[in-house]
Amino acid sequence: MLSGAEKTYIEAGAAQGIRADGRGLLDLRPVTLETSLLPTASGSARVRIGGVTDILVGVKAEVVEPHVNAPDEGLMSFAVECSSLASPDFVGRGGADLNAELSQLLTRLYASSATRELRRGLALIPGRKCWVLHVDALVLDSGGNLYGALSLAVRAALRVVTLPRVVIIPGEADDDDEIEVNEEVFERLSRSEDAPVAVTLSAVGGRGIYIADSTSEEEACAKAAITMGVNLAGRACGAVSGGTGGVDMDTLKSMLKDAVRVGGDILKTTDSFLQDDIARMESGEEVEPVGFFS
Amino acid sequence: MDQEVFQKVHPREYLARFLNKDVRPDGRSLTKARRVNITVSSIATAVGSAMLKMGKTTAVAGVHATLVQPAPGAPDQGILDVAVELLPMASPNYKSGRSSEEAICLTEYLRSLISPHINMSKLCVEAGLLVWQLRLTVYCVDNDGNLEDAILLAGVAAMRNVLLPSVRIIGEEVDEGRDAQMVEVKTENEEGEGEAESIIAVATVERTNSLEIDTYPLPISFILFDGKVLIDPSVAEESVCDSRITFLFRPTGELRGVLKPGGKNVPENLYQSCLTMAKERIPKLQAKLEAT
Amino acid sequence: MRYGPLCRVTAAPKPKTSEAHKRSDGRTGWEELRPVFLKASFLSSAAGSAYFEAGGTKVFCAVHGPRAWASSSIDAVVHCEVRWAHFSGRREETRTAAGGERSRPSESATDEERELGASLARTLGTVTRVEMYPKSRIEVSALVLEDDGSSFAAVVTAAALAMADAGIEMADLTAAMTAAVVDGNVVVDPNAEEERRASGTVMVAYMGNVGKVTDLVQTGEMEIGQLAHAIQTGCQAATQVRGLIKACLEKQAGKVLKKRGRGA
Repeated sequence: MLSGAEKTYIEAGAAQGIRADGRGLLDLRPVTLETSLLPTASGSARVRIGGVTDILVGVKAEVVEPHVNAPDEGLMSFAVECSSLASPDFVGRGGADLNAELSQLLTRLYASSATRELRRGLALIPGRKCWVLHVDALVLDSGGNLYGALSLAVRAALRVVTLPRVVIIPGEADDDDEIEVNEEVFERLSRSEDAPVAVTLSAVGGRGIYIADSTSEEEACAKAAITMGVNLAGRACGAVSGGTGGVDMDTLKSMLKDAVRVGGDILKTTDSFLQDDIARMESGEEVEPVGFFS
Repeated sequence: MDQEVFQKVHPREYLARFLNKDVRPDGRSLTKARRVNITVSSIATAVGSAMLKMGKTTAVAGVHATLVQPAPGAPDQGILDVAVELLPMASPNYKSGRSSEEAICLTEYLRSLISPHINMSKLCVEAGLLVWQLRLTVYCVDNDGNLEDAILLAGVAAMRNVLLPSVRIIGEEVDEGRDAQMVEVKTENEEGEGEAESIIAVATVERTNSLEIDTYPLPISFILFDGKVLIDPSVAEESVCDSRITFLFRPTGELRGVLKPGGKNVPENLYQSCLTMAKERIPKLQAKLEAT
Repeated sequence: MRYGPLCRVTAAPKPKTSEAHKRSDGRTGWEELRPVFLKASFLSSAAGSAYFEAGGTKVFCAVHGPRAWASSSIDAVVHCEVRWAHFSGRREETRTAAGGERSRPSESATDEERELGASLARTLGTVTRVEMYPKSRIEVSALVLEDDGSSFAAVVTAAALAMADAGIEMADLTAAMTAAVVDGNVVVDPNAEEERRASGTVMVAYMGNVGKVTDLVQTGEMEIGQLAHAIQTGCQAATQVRGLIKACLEKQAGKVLKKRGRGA
């Protein structure tokens, strides 16, 4: 809960184009991104935004039968758990609803045709065998922009996922092909760069004013918000609205445009970081761990 | 005192004053059941459906069909699942979330009365390979009393409305054009491990096969209040009744069973008058169902 | 007809697309809506209720309350529960289920139902004058009987009518509409077959008088220009539906007044 004065301060600031922590309207807070920090997971990542919002994602893989409606695609399942230590809002029913909303957002982001190639890369024998990626996310602390941080952590974890190489051994008939999992050789996912990132823009104060990467105080006085998945092609892949204020059409249109721009920047920056990270890991260089595993 | 307040504070006395004048709060006489209205086949996505209104009490029943592998113990028997859901919209007393004890009781009630009348071997496509799994769900949309009768009648009407397509198992996928569609059913291997096989079948788009249910239960419920008998109770009457008694008939008019769950005992003379009233009403109810 | 998640339909009947602008259900324009049927006040115990039908899509909605509720906020809380009937034909499109059938116990809501319930609650919270009902809770329950496309939009529209029918003070009437991109065209009020073929869909709830979008749910992949266009056309169509809600309420009010006049 915010007091009236705090609210006015944030709103008046936003109207002047400046925010409480000195950022411009569409500036982001510093992001800390760590990858491959869980030794037992196929891929993992931890994202912290502004030193507050803290999300840990682990990906596990197993071989299952593909969905009958998409025999040539692998599967992805998402589960988000908001730690009840992080915020009193996460306790009880409110927490369960939030968990459902967060996992549903991820499902939405990864269900579109934009990530079809990524899912196809998980297929092994069409109609019979494929990988399923169980993506588990843990929200350790919340300081605003949960959707953005969550989607960033999931994307980073998928970028570094390695799966054992699978060899298909042809059988006598077409249907008798078998697979053999080679636990010696690991490969990265193909087309993991297609994974989208979610951008939330929150409308605060007057008409047409909205901010990116809002803090929890800013979220508390936001009238409306749009969360949109953006991929490298600059397309929308899943969007939901939030807040109880409504947005007018012109603002909404410019929000969509800005979300694509902000999302594109995030994708570019994190991809260059991740490429360095992956290159370093592949060269066998020791990476100094940071965060709670150091 | 205001009428509404009086009803809330003294619900029994409120009803008793009406009954002393031989009339019920909703204007009916003690022996008058509410009008029953049944519409069927209104839901295109279900293989059978019915909407039943009994006064204000409203229930919607629908049947969903899936092709599955039969259970190992009964290779030529189809499968029927039954569920009753009490939606929060039906009554301010129904809470969302987990299903209540009342919903579970009604589900059991419906299952035990409907299952015996369904010929499960009619649901068999190919013994040991493919059978229909039907799931009957009855949603209670508005509860103004006598839900037991409403749910059972809606369930019966929906099951009688079921039409299934003809299914033929074929070796491989061929394009049969517009009148048919392919279905592929994954089967479990007996050894548990190993490869799953799939059965490819072709189903007609047109649905013509009925379950041919000619005998089914017809319920008529009464409540007892202060030595008086009321047919087809409303929700306010049910909440203060001394006991409840339900007669179940065959469509031919023979008495099939009597249910009396707890409450005060029913004197012989009242039982007889209930039975006479019920027998009079059965042909009407039966005609309503047959007309669908 | 669909059989459920265990089955794969490989040879579905092909849509009739002989004429350039003919849609699979016979509509001739991309922006043409299906015939709508609206009815208010049909439930006995609810404060307000509505039935909405567009093409094959059928939705029941009821509003209970406002009733006393101890919560941390002073304003009224809108709580919504949205369910798709087991036989509604809702596609199990989520690829989360690891193969085979995802059997769900009848009583528990799916993640999607929870998400859309929360989304509906936000929309109704936007239009409702929550400050008029301090420390209370308004409960909305909706059931989709048959899903022939655009079903969540139908839920939102039915909920708006039910809220108005319950006499709850609102800033404006909200109505919702779905627009889908099918074969590169923006199609309004898609049916189930069009939704299946669509590369992306967007559902918008729009307050016609205030001119604000109260809810937006987009799925699939869409270009930004296309999305903006879809939202715009969706809002225009929603305004049309808003007119229908208004007409339904006026008719209802006329009936009530007539009854009262007769009583006096």
